[in-house]
Amino acid sequence: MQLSSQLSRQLCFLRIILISLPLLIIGCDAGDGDGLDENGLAIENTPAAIDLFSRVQSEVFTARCIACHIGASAPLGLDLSEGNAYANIVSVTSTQQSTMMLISPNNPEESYLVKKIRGDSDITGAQMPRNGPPFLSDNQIQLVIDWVNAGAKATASSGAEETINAGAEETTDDNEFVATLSDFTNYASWQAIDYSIDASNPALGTAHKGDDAAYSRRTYKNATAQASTGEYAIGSILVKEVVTWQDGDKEFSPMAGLNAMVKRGGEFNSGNGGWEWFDIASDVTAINGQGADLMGGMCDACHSQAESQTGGLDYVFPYPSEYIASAADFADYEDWELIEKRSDQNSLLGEIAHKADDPDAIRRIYKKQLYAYPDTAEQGYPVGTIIVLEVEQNDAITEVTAMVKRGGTFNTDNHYWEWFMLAPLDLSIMVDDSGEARGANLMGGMCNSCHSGANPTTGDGIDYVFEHKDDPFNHP
Amino acid sequence: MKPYKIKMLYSQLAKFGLITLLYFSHTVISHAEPYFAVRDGLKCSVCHSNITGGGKRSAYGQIYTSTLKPANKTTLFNPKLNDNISIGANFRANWTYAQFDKAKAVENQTSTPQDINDTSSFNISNGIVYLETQLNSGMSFYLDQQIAPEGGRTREAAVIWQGLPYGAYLKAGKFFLPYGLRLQDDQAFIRESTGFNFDNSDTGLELGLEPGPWSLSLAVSNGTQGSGENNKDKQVSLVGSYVQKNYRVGMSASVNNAPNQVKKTAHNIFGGFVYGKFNVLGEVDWINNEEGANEIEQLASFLAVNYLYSKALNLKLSYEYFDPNDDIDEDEQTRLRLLAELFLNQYSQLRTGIKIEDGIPQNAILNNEQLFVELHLFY
Repeated sequence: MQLSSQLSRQLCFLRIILISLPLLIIGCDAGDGDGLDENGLAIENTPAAIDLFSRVQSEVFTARCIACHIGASAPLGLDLSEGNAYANIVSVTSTQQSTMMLISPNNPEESYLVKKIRGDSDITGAQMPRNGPPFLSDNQIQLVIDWVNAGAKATASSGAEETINAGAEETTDDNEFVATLSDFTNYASWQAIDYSIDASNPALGTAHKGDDAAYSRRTYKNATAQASTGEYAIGSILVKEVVTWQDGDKEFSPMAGLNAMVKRGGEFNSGNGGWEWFDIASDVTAINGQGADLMGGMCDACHSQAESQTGGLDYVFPYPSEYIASAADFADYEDWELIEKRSDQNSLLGEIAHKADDPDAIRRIYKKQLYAYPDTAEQGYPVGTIIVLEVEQNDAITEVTAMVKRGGTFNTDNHYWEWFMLAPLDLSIMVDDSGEARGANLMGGMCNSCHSGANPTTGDGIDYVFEHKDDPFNHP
Repeated sequence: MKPYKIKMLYSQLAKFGLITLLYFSHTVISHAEPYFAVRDGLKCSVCHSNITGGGKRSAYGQIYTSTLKPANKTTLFNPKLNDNISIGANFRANWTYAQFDKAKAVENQTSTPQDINDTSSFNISNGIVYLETQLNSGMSFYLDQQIAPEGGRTREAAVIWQGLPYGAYLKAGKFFLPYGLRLQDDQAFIRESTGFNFDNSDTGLELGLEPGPWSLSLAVSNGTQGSGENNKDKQVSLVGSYVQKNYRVGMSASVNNAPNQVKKTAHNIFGGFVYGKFNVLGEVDWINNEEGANEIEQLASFLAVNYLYSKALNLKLSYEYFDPNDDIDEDEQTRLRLLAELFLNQYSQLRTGIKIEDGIPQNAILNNEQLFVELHLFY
């Protein structure tokens, strides 16, 4: 009897489910796709994909990847949605295999993303897309490879296209790109092309806090600018941050802390390369000012010197910055910030460096720009950073050496540092048989060799600078 | 769902169900997924070393499967290597046949619709090994390492400190963030669209409380889902639930602020109940992806009805619904599944079933029927 009652209740429950589930299914049916393209986007909002990257975006990323790879919580931070994908993959190091780029232009076999979608045997983790099979079709994979082989250029709308459809309209020089606030919101995810501090460029003067050693500058360029060769393509955007870390956190300069130059083209500012200048709120919520004559025409005036005075191109100063120090840069080092004084037998010095063989020697380290901040392992200290070490023995200064973040293309194998030996008496750059005691390979490369040990892996420092207790930042 | 598909589904359901029921009518049972927890009124932490569920089975989880085996309870293998170190593993290999509908042409476009050839494929969906080192009575080191397919990667590596005052625990390191029902299927809409799944772990700190029938877990993490952190923005994730013998209810919330006005928020409600041999569980998620002034609102839901045919065999009927953009009409997607999940012994499970996906007819990948068989080994 009890069993019968229980069975009856269960059959009743089953009936409820069997009735309610079809109702639920009918009530929440799949969309019929009216007015939508194959990616579920409204047809009128879908631009015709005429260039390779637009096709890659539409036929691969939007079609298969953004179910997961979208927004702030995209796996591995890899947002592949429209407007974000390019900056996140082209010439960007893979998180899973740090020796490879996700997309290495012109080199599909060295592009990790290509390997992931092909399911090569040397990838980490699963083949993409995760919801395969089916994985991408041969045609979709070939489309990505073709795009990489063609230089992995950006979109037609930004003027750097590789047009493949003979019937499609090509972008012309008459196009005009009118930037709005949304064009800047992602700037920090673009490629950073320069990081400098102090008067790293003689053309700076007081602009962009070039006269204030507490502020550093970082410049980013968008995908269109990145893909441009020669003069910048219409739609190119370069954004410059001017920030300080005096209070421990990143703070923008209250005046012109975030600026941009946009290659607008058309008839706009034709006497000055078609550039439009922008003063943007540091939280990218508003454009405070824009136009050809921003800052009373000062932007035009200064940047017009970029090519003739400094070897830049098309109103853009050369990057990365290069700061070539002279003896005058070290003259007042004792007035700089003393970031450490020590007299112990530091094992990192080996037996001879900086008078390590004298147990009574005192070493003092001075940093010219206290707030020069090595905030990313890739770029390290900003160009222009200067650090001096002096050694005192028997109440006399017997050794003065310096390291300067020179930048440019100098000593690229060793993070752009230049090394100096200074005369303790007059702080001139010492001279030996081969000339001034400065360069990338000073002391037969010993400076490079020892200081390369200052990195987060060893825990002894960051970017060739050893940890010093009163440096507010270099504590790996 | 299109009428011919409903007809086909019911026809297949009937045949499939009959054959399955006749064939698998007497064997054993094991526990692994949320529906097991619902069925037994247990918290995830009872059967899993990692308190919020999934991954390595706890000593209880191991013993539980072996005690359910009707006959031989001895085994040559013991994953508890000694008093302090134990290991675990999951391995899933499957065969899937997928048949895709013909794509419909996009309005006013002359381009040819992109059809997809049917596929038949063998796959290793994952191979995971686990290590748990008990450092003292409360503190352990937990490792979840994927070794297949292809090269390995660390999914979780964390210190778990249990037995703190008020029944609290702390977890620090890289781990799966606490949110919603921890389904095995990463491709379920509620797991895929929210980003909380077994393919997505993050680095941070988790604090939890498990007083009586309550469970509460709060995590603060980088929000970069495994890639390097380069800013001070963080992700906060929270899940709370109330567990009783015959039912449970819960809710989750998460906010992930990223640089450049990019932000993802999600919240849900979930629950389940038991009625005789049936148990039902479901979840509804509201997701919001913001990027500057652009905003996409999504809705994902999951409903599953499980029927415990025998101790070894569970039959599952599940339905999923996903609206990928609330501002766009007629772009919704659905999935319907019928599964049979049979435990062969305390270390293996055979899963087989059909899945019917429906989406906009212009996209063949969203409209398909799949038949699959999966072998799942675990310890």
